[in-house]
Amino acid sequence: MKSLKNIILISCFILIILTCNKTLAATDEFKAFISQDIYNDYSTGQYTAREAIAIAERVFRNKLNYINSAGANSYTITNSADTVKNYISHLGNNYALVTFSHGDDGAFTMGEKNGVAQWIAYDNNTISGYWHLIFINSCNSMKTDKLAQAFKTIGYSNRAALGWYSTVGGPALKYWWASYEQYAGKYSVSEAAVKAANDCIDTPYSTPIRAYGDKNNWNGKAW
Amino acid sequence: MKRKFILILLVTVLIFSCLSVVFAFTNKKENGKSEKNLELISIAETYAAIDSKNISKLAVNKKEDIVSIANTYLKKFEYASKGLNEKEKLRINDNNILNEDDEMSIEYNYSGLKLRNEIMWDTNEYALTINADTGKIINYSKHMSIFPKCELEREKIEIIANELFKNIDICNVNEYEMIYLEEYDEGIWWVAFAKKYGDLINSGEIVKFHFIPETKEIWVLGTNNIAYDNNEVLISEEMARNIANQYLEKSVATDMKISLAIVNPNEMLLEGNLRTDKVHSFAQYMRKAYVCEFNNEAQTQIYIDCTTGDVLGGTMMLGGDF
Repeated sequence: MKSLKNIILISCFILIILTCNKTLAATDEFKAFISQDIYNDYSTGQYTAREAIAIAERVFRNKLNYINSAGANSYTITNSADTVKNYISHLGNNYALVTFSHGDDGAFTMGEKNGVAQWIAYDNNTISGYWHLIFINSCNSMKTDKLAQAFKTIGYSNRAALGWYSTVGGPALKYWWASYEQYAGKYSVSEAAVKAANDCIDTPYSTPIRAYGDKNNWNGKAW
Repeated sequence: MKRKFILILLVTVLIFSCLSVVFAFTNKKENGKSEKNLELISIAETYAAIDSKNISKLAVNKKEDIVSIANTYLKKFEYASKGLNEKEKLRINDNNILNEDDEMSIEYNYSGLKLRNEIMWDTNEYALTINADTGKIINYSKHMSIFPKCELEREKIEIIANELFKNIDICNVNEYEMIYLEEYDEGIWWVAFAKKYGDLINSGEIVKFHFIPETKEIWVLGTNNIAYDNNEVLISEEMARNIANQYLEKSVATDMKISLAIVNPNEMLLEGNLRTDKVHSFAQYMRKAYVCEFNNEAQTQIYIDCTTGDVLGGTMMLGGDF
């Protein structure tokens, strides 16, 4: 009888600890990446990408409650697609990703190797895992749902992918992120994104944002 | 026996506590060769909240007036969606959507060109922001999660977009022109109307909205009301070309084409080795300028003020070479 009581007590303690453990450990992590060429070209239109990634980092951390696995207020500047691939394939709580780089439908790149762009693409086995929130800031990245499918953000609750369905550039990108900061986490992923798009002053480039996945019910916040 | 039990219990608690801490606070390290993390440059917050008591200082200074203005806008959106006739509008005109007890927030927006006081409502159904100084609508959205698939032809969708723009009645539609109509997803389309000035359009005075063609509902709308300075053309195209040439020499482009347009002065070219003394940062108005578009992949554009010859900034595609 006494031994049964002990077992129950121990079980209860283990259960409590496990619950605490899950609560503390389950918060999603993210990382922000910007390609070196965009980052270095500060004197021209790319300066907006440098400012936009600063806002993006803040949005993911403060508004969407993800933990920056590189440390708060930090982002990664890289000319190597491998750096991003390493993060994508890394096991752990890395469930969110935001990037700023060249891109195209279903693909983006962080740099070149011997003059050849190193693509991270939906069809070249560089994307793995089940992601909660990804944001690929590259022209045409979300023209179709290829990247959203590759990151497995479609067909599940509380998962989404965001990006641009056409060309985006210059100051428009920064204006969009500045507006998005007001709405992120407050409304559904899709509503927050298009509210920001409609707030922006169009340059020759509008802000053609598009979301896939659980975009109309989920607010994008970390699990 | 009792000591043994306590010992087991303590060890178990200790192990799980350690695991919790390790799982929760461990930062994953990576070994990217060219990776470096950089401390961000501090950027001022976009918004600064103003104490709600300051409402009396705003141009629209009575709460009942503000709520009345907000209700007028919300009803307009309801009318626009339902296509009500004048008789039907009168019948439901007394049913206010917001009342004076509904919570509203007042903020001062000083991002970019938009220096203004804003009043916002955010209910379970709607979000609405109006300019506290002018009473004009800034943005609106109806919180929705289900959107019927659109089976209509583009021509029909264009007609619906024009009808909705007319029905919401927030500006003189005759002065505006549709500048784009795009599919957002299978149930939602995006349209923008900008104010015309002869052959030019001012994208600073713009109404953009996402709508559901099948139900004729506006989902999300945003406006801007940045006036056009209507500045004279005092410098020639050739002079503008000469000014832009100093940038072309530093570009991967080899030539440019020039046209007149109303532009939004911006910060591009303010920093770095392309900076000149005659670059504007922000202006209170949209300006007429020569837009010098380079023949590079990034389609770099440099804005030259057609009155003063000042460089007003520019734009280029994300990721392209200058």
